Amino acid sequence: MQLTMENNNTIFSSCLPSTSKEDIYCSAQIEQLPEDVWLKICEFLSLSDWCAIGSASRRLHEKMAVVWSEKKCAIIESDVPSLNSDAGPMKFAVAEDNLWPHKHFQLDSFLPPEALQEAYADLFRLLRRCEENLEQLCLLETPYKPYRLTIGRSIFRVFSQSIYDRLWLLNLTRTSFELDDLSMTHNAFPELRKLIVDDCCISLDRRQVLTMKPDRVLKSVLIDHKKKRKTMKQGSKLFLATVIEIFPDLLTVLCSLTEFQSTGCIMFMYGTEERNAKYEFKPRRRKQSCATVEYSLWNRCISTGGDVSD
Amino acid sequence: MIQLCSNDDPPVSFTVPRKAVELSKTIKTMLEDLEGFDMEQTPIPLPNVDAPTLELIVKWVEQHQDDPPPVEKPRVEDDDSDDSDADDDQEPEVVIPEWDKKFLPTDDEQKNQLFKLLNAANYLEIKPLLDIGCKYVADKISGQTVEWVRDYLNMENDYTPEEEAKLKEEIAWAEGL
Repeated sequence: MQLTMENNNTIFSSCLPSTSKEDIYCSAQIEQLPEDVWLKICEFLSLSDWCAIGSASRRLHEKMAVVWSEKKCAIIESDVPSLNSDAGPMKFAVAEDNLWPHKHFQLDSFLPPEALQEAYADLFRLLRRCEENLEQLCLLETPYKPYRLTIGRSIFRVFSQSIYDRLWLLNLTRTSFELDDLSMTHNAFPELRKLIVDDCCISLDRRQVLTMKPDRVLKSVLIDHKKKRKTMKQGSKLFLATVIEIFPDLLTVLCSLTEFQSTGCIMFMYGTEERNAKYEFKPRRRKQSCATVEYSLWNRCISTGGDVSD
Repeated sequence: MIQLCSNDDPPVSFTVPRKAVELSKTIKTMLEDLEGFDMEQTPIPLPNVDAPTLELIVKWVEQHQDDPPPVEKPRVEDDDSDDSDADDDQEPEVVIPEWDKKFLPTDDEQKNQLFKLLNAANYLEIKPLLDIGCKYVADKISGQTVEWVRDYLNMENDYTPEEEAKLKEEIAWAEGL
């Protein structure tokens, strides 16, 4: 190496900052690190480390949000061991349901639950670990999810394999799914009180839209039904009437900018909700069947080795 | 030999063998674009790199100029490859060589220099240097608390107590990991 000093100044000594200035420069230097560098650093770190960095300052929180958005699909494949700790995560990232578009016939119709368990082994393991304590289930919101994710029937089938007694919030923001598929989870979330489907695209069975009279169901349970029914979209009515049947404890549904359309090759639109659309329901009598209770007890019996004292 | 100039005023220039300097993808592309010009007589200005950082970069490229080039991952056009192919596509694990461990500015007083070096390696597209630098920083941060990370990165806690409490609640799931 050949070093050429232009002029006769001692450039190096003047370039090196003093220790006190060093601290100031250091934080500025870190904040200026490009996102590519943060992505590279985070490749070597686990999710808990990302959280620690993001909690250090607002600027770093923004950087970590970008890292999340870039890496979201890789998490479940690469970081299951750290998620699978004794503490049990209450929040985790799930890769897009890529299996569904390609293999939906097999997964949805022909595969027995065991095969589904094999196809979604990591997700099953995570859910199994936290099913007793899971209170909220959220398919990550923006900035972690910049576009609508398709949730296939197979994912709802995965959820329907267990009972989440404590789960009170289901957040499906920015997803696209069929109402019939969501119906499969009716036994899985018996205590659900709040459902968020903001910016979703929900597909409804056309025959149901033509034959069902959702206003009959809604008039007795929806708060301000008289005031709202004139402006409510056709799709919203069917959706709300269905979800309050599925989830007997449901009190609130948020569906800002949600689109409703028909299933099938020929698509019919059933309206788009207003921004900040919110529906609240009166508390209703539980209509839980004996069979559900028994299955719940039976399932707990299996997981606790017979102790169902609580 | 190629001359590289720092962004200082007045600039400091370093003369580096072409083979070494071509470890930087940015400079290699620039040299290829300027083929035909007498680059040995034309210093290349690096507006994002100061003299102490450039000195470190030059030291590193001279040390590693004879290393075998990193294998470029081929672009996978179809998803029909079987599992064994997928394994081959995985990035090799980054191990920091002994010389590099001594070379990296790792003292607490040199943290600023370390992050400048990462920035410069990214700007100059020197992938192996960026890999080992990022691996070093990640190893330091891995498994540490928020307070430790804040202290190490010398960041000011600019959250309000309410925001901090909300954030703690949001990431409570990660505490046991």
